[in-house]
Amino acid sequence: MHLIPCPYCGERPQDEFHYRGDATVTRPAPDAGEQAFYDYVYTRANPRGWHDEWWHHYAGCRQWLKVRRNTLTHAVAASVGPADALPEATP
Amino acid sequence: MSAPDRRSRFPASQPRQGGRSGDAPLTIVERPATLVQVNARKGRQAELVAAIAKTLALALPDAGRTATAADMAALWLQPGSWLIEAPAGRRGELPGTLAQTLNGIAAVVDQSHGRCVIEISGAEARAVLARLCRLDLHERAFAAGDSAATLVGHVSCLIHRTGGEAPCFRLVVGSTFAEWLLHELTAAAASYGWRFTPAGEAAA
Repeated sequence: MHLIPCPYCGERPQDEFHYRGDATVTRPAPDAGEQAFYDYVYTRANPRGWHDEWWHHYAGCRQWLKVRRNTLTHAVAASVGPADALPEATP
Repeated sequence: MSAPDRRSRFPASQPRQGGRSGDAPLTIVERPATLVQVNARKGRQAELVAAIAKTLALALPDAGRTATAADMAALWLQPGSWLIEAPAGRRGELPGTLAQTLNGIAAVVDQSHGRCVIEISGAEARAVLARLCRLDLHERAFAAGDSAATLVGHVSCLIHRTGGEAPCFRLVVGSTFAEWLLHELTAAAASYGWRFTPAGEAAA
């Protein structure tokens, strides 16, 4: 069972969470143009290695979390609440 | 003010028992309760904690813990949000009182009909829960007063361990899931045997 550390509940099994997408994208300005919005909605990097992701702890504290997960090893380096920033560097 | 609702969440609300007859059957009891959820409004959490301490003499607990005072308990749900559990007799009065006291400080939602409290106890209570729940419920990891929102038999539950020597857990579950959860519990407890007492049959 893959464990995901929740900043509020502690380590919890992965089936208490839903994956909610890439946490690195930011919404462009309203006048940024069609290409910027196309990229915002559809274009993703699919990195091999560390990736910042949204996870929703739906069966626990119901909070959305930012989780830095390694897509190759599934290791989780950090997780923070929705309004907090993940640390700059990954160990 | 309406009269306290003591109707059971279980349609066929008769005491039942089943499974193998053994020395340590699982005891499952539906506990009628008044349940009120309080959600602090933005930036008002400190005021909510102070107001609850003043009116109910309850210290709202940190994440993953419960607080008890007299016949009431407060369970942590999520940041800024708690569930207050009180005797069923206060169902007609407590939600209104809290809504008045916490006006502007917190959102107050009466969950007495929406949720159901199922208490399970017995020497094998942990072993039965281990068949349904992925959390470590051993004494060293989940002591008296600990609580957790998690999945039990695929159903979202708030599980908390009450004080006392014998393992005794309470599950707060959505009322419409209560019968499903009872079915899961009795199936998991079949090898030890089980006894179920619905609300109304239990000592009031």
